[in-house]
Amino acid sequence: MQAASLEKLETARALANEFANSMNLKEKEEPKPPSQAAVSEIQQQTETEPEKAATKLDTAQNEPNQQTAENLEQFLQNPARFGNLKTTDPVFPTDETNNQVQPQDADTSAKTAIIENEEVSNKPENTRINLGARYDADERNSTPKITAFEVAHWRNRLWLNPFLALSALLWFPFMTGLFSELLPLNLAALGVISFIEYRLTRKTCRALHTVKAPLWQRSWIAYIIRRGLVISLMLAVFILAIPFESWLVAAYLASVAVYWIAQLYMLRKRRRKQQQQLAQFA
Amino acid sequence: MNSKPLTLPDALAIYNEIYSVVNLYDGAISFPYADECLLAGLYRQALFGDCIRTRPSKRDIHDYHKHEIWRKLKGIPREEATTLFIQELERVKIKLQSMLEKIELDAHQSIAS
Repeated sequence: MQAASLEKLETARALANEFANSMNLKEKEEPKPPSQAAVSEIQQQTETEPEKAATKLDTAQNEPNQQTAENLEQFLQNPARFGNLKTTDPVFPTDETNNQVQPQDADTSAKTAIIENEEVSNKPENTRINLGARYDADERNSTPKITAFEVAHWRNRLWLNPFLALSALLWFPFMTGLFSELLPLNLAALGVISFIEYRLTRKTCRALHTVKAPLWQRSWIAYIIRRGLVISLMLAVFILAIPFESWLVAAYLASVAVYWIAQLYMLRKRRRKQQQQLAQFA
Repeated sequence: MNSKPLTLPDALAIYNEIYSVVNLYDGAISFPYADECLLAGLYRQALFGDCIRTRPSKRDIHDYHKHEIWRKLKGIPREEATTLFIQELERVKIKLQSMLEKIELDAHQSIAS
């Protein structure tokens, strides 16, 4: 074990104590005095223990098969009683729970039956076992507010995002004459544009994440890095293709034209479908 | 024979068992808050490694505290975190057992008197 790890553990322990102090739930040195219910329960246990032990010995030594047969007979007579079994058993039963005599066991003396009923009724009906180690790594604050169909639709549309972003982020500053001789100013302008775009992307794409936001959307820096990579790759492609410039420009314009034509076609198709439906319902 | 749990699933089983026992006593004892946070942080460190999760809201104060503990433990290798988790669990288990024994002893004494 490294000393650094132990040191961190001690730091964390100190912090945990601080948290406990702040929550006013600091562990008490003296445990609470036993409540009246606990006292009476233990009293009942001490009273009924000999009987339970005798019953256990009887069933274990003499006729286990007969016990099973009796249970089966009881089940055939009154199946509803067995269908209503307790659900308050812990997930990992302790020895104590294993040794408990169930109500349907052979002992049918009146006293024992009453006490056992009381014991059962003393327990809460739904003992909620709080699994302290539960942790959902994929949990997120927002649940998707659009349908699965819309998610699929947007996924199909958004594959062109890098190209669109290239157009916006690369050409928009030039078109508006934003760039100057000063590099910091240019970077600031790019930062503002990319920040706006990042916020828009987050707003639009939040509902699309079925599990977790992709890495490039989790922070503005990651978003800029990804954008920079995409843009520099595209620029590299353009520069390497200077000898075939006219072809490349033609191919780029053609792809943009095909994209818009496809969009218009889809829009028209949807309009037609909508009108058909309206005519149908009218 | 070494009776300590060697793997994380074994330790998790004991962890759950302790929780269910504490819940059965229903108010007579409670899981120490500091230990709860520390164990949760160690468990996360052992299972997921270093914390890269964004900080949760302070409205869920319990989750926030556990997250802060997890961040404090950043840098501990997962194997060591597992060992530390098991050690801490053993310590808490012994502590709670002694508390339970004391409660039962007090109850018996009050019955006798």
